[in-house]
Amino acid sequence: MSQIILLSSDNVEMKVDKEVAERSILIKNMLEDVGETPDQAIPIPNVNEGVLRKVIEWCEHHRNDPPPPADEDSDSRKKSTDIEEWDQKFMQVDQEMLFEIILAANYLDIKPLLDVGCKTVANMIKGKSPEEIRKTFNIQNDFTPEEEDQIRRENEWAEE
Amino acid sequence: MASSSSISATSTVLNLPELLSPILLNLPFEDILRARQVSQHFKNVIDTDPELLWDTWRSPTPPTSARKHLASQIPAEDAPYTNEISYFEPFRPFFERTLINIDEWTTEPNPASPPLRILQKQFIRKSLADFIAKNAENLGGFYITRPPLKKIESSIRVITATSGRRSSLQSTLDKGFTITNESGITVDGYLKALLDCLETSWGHITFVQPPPPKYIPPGEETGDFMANLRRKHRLEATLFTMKKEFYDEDDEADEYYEIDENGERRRKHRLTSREEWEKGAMSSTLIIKVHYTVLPEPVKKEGLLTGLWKRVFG
Repeated sequence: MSQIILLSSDNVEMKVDKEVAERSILIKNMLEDVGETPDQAIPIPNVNEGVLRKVIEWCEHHRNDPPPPADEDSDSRKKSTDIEEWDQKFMQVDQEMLFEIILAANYLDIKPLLDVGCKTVANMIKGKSPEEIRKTFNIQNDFTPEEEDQIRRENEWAEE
Repeated sequence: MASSSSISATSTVLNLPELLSPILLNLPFEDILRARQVSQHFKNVIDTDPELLWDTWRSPTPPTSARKHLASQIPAEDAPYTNEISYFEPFRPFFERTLINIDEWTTEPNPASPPLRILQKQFIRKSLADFIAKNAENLGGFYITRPPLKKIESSIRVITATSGRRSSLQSTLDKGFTITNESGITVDGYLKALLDCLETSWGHITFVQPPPPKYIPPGEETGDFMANLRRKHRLEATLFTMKKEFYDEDDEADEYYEIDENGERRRKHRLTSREEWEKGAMSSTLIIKVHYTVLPEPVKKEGLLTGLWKRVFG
């Protein structure tokens, strides 16, 4: 099994099976462009060691998963916040790490990991009031009282 | 990523519309609309992202078409999406909802209780049957479009074949069907089709399935409070129908007309909902939503007198 070396943003080298690294479409395309397994480390400038290790752990576990279907329009996507048990445990990290993983998955183009991250955050939002959402994610309320009233009125139909 | 930066990953993700949108898309639409009240940024994303608009039934245009349309209309530098192509207000869905039935029942911790699914299906069947029977006369020209999942399309084909008016749409996997009194579709046929749709899309309806409580036969109670819980179920069936104003193509109001270069009054070039539907562009008009909640309810302990009464008098 051929291996490649990934170089995190804080200059830590990590040896990974090529097949595992290729769960990332970014890396896969990069390797295809180069044509052969490179001897030098591939820099991943946006992802630090801790996050990269988590991402690799996920890719290792899901190395044999079938690729996601190409046709993913909104109607075929099952709207759900169900997450596999292993992925749920994997995502039991502090909030900042969770969002770091989402950013890394987005940057490295690992769609299934991004989906799991998005579902995890969606579960944190589900059923919460706007104030609770703000508190959870430290978001500033930048509405004027008049704007808040207006939106509340607009949303009345949904809150019946 | 960016852990050394002073901006947290949380705020980076939530400030990127391309990441906030897929997060919100996993939520039921009540939660999405409630999230409009979080901040200006949340509101902007929810009110302008084509996929979120489509997903919450606030736009008649599927996201792919909306994006294509926007790409051809808006110069690349004007990055944020606008909702100009839609005449629907983003906060105002073009359907209204009618509560058609509420039912409540309690299940005992005894495993012999009827399975929940059967109760739920019976409820839906009865609710719809009652509702449709009551409103049968008004069902002409009623649309049912854009089922939530592709799976439902097979059921819809059956209907289009039954109605006898939409055969040309079958090959295009049409996004809906019409029932009309004149085409001869019966209330029973309609109900069956609706139930087929519902049952095929069963996975789409979120039911909170609690873990079955462990049954402990009477007399063997261990004092475990959670073991002998009864569960109370509440199911609401709500019918979402398109507002008449959005599909009435014969509207003569001035706002739909303009004066052309010859000084003549003519209808503005705007697709009516019916035309949009004919072209397969219309999104949704009728959705049935079922709420199901479980309220734990402890088994009431028998008082001394009640117990004595039961023993003596049965």
